[in-house]
Order: sequence, then structure tokens, then C-alpha cells
Amino acid sequence: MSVRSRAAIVAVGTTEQGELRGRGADEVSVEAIRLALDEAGLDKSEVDGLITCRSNMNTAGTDTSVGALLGLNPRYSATLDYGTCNFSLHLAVMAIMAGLAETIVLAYGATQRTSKVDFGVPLGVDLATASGYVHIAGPAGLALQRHKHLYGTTDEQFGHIAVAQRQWARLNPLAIFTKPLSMEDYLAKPYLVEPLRRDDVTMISDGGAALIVTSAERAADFPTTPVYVRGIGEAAALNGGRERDNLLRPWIANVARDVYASAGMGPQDIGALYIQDPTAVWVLQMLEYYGFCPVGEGGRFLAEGHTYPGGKLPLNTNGGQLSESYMWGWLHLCEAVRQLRGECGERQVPGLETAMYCSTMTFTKGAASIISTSK
Amino acid sequence: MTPMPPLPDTTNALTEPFWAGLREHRLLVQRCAHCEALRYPAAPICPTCLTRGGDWTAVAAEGDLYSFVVYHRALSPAFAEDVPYAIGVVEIQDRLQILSRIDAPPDSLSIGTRMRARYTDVSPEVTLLHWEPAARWKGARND
Repeated sequence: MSVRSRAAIVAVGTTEQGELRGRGADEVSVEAIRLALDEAGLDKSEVDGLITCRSNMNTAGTDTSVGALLGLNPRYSATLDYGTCNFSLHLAVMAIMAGLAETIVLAYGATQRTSKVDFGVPLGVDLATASGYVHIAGPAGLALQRHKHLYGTTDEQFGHIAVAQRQWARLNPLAIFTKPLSMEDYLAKPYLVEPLRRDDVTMISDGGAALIVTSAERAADFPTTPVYVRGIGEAAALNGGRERDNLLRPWIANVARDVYASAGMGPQDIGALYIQDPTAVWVLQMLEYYGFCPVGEGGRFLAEGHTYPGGKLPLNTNGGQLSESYMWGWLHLCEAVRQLRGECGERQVPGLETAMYCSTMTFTKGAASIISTSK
Repeated sequence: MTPMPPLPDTTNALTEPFWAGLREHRLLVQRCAHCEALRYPAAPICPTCLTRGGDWTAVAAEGDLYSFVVYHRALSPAFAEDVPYAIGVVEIQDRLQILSRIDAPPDSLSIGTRMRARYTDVSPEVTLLHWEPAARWKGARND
């Protein structure tokens, strides 16, 4: 059974991003939901599904807690804790196709900045943790070091990810990091976890995001331009940690194969690309595995400037987690929807019809969605 | 006050033999009693053939450096006094990867460097396995 254009995103809602002092994650989720409902011209009683995202590193964000605050008794509800919104979107498409619900709201709220969540030391101390192997910059740095060793990728080539995303962020009123960042600035910064610099690693910020997904039939009833889900793909590398080259996450190529097959499309059909970026290493890896350049050629591809404003492959036009806001990838999908509707002002990609959003859950899961204004 | 680096629970039934081995300056990993696959980190079941348990066996604590990073800033306050420090993945026999601290100047390292264990006693209960280049580097201990 094909998912192709059976469901559509009909609204997005995004709160202020940055520091939301004194607010709770669930309350911020509900604010984002209210903004999405307003955009859709929908009363909450018309929503019959709720999919929430459990907060990274704490317990907020379950469907039971967000649903209570939202004052809703939907037909269907669920909580995922993988983040990135891709998995949530896929679950919504499946629930709609299964007839469990017809209009589903997806939401995520985070207050990790003001609540000072410690992303350093995980639960349970093993040899690695006791040695000081902490934070996502550790494994990401190991992966980049290996990439540099195998393919000769240079700091400057890699730096184009952070520098290009900052250029995009400077055109985005929602973005938090908008100070100019030239390649010279980038290279002059000290290493954080060598070979990564601070600019290569996500910020931590507070904020909320929500999307409303409905059946393709129902989508025509909304005031917004429907953005159809053309194809989806996932992979679960649950044994990955025991496989030799898992730092390089070669299984992402399986997500690419499946999402393109699902949509009946290929990289040449993608007008704007979104890659969830807790670190810039994720962008380097996914550019290659999704076929925008051969594996190992990511550095050279980036140095050709394709991902900058005006380039042939607009990438993370919101600024991504490196420059816009943390939000665990949720804002990438919101931005893709707004770009496809042509609402992005100075950073608008002209004539955009189809976008792809690729994300991962650390070293164990991957997902991608191709979305389009055409069926 | 700077928090101390976190220490493992050496009494955990699953990993107790591993820590006991390090206390004796030996590297022990599990070997599946059925399919003989070596595994690290410890697991209560063999993920290859799904046989429960496993025998602990000593392996040579040496191998090639697969990748490494250098922490220039402490991303947990517990390691504030250690920066800059290197962390590396070393491939021992059967391509098992063991990730730990590297005790050597970061600029002396490159992928493929032959590494050997350096056992570091940090408390009566806890000995950590650190890595160091197998070839002598300037400033190396003389033992």
C-alpha cells in the first residue's frame, strides 16, 4: 500500500525561540498547537488525533500530559521519544491511512535552556563515560575524524556547513544566532571537541512547534496550501553500536533508497533539502548518503557553494539547529512547509515544489520524508 | 567545588568481572559459550546467537587507533581539570572497539597508530583502562 499523497500537512505553528523563562515544556507545546489551529482555522474539537514528542533528557511531552493541558479527548493519541518530527509525521500518516484518526496534531515543546538540562553525562557510568566521553560532540567528532582520514575532508570544506547555515539564519526572523560568520571567522575559532568547533554543534534553546496533518481529501477544506507527504522511509540500526563503521552510519543509505522509492523520486527532484543537525557532521553524512554527491565527496561538494543562499541545493534554509534554534529538528519541517507555500520572504527559494527532510536519532534510527505541493 | 569524574558501579552483576579484570590489569571480555563470538560492552545475552550468559576471557589489550577526538573544553564540569584530553576508539582482536581516554599528547596521534593499554588505578575498587601509543613517545613513562 503506497503512502503517496494520502496525507498532507495543512498547518504549522511555532512559538518564540530562545529563552522562555518560567515556562513548562507542555505549556509551550500547547501554545504551538494553538498557533497551528489558528492557522488552520480549526477548533480543537475538530482534532481527533494527538502525537506528542517526549522531551530529550526529561519526562515532559507525553500525550497524556500534553493532552490534559490541551483539554482534548482524541480518538487516537501516542507519544514518541525519537524527536526530529519525521517519526511523528510517519506515525500520523499511518494512523490516518489506518482510519484511526483523520486530523492529527503533532507537537513538541522544550525548555532545556532555561531548565539547564545537563547534556553531558548520561545515566549509567561505563568505561567511556568515566574517561570523559560525554556529549554528542564526542561521537560526532570521532565520525568526522574518520571521514577526514578516509576522504581527505578539510576543516574549511566542513566549515561551509556552519557558515552557509548562518547566512540562511540571517534571513530568518525566528533565528537565534544571526551574527555574521565568515569562513575566516569560523576557522579562527578554537576547537570545542577537535575536529569540531562550537559553530559545528547545536545550540540548546527553548521553544515549541506543532503541525497539523490530515487526509488528502480533507486537506482541500483548509485555508492553507496543502503540503502532501509524497514518500517516507526509515531504518533502525539498533545493533549499530556493535558494528565496525557505525560512526559513519552507512545504514542511512537504506533510508535514502526507501524514501526515494516511496515517492517515486530521486535527488534531482529535491528543490530544498533539510537535514536535522545536532552537529554539522550529520549534514556531511546525509548529503552523501542521500545521493547529492558520492560518499566521501561531501567536503568538495560543500566547497562548491551549492548549499548557500542562491545555490543549486538550498540546505537548511532556516539556519538549522546550528543557527536557528534547537527544537530537535522540528523547525526544519515547519520551515520546509512554509518554503513550499512560498511564505519565506528574503530567504524564499523561488519556484519550490518539492522538499526533503532527513533526520536521525543518534546512531540508531533514521527517517526521511519527501513533501510537495503537488500530488 | 569541581565535581569528581563519575565512577562506575563495579558491583553490577553484569559488568563486575570486567572491572575485576581491570583491577588485576587484565582486559576481560565476554565470549559466547555457544557461537564463541566475543562481545564488548557486556550484555546478558549474545546478540549474535541469542544464547544467555557468556564466559569471560582475557584478550590482548592492544590494537590500532580507529578514530579519536580531543576535548578542548570540558562538556561536563567533572572533567574541567583534564582538558585538553584525547578520547580514542581502539580496535583490538576480532575488531572489537574499546573507547577510552588516551594518555598521550594529542598532536602525537593519528588514525592507525598502534596503541596499548595503560591501566590507571583511580580508587581501591576502580581501575580504568586508558590507551597510549605502543611506540615510545616523548615524555612517556620509563617503565
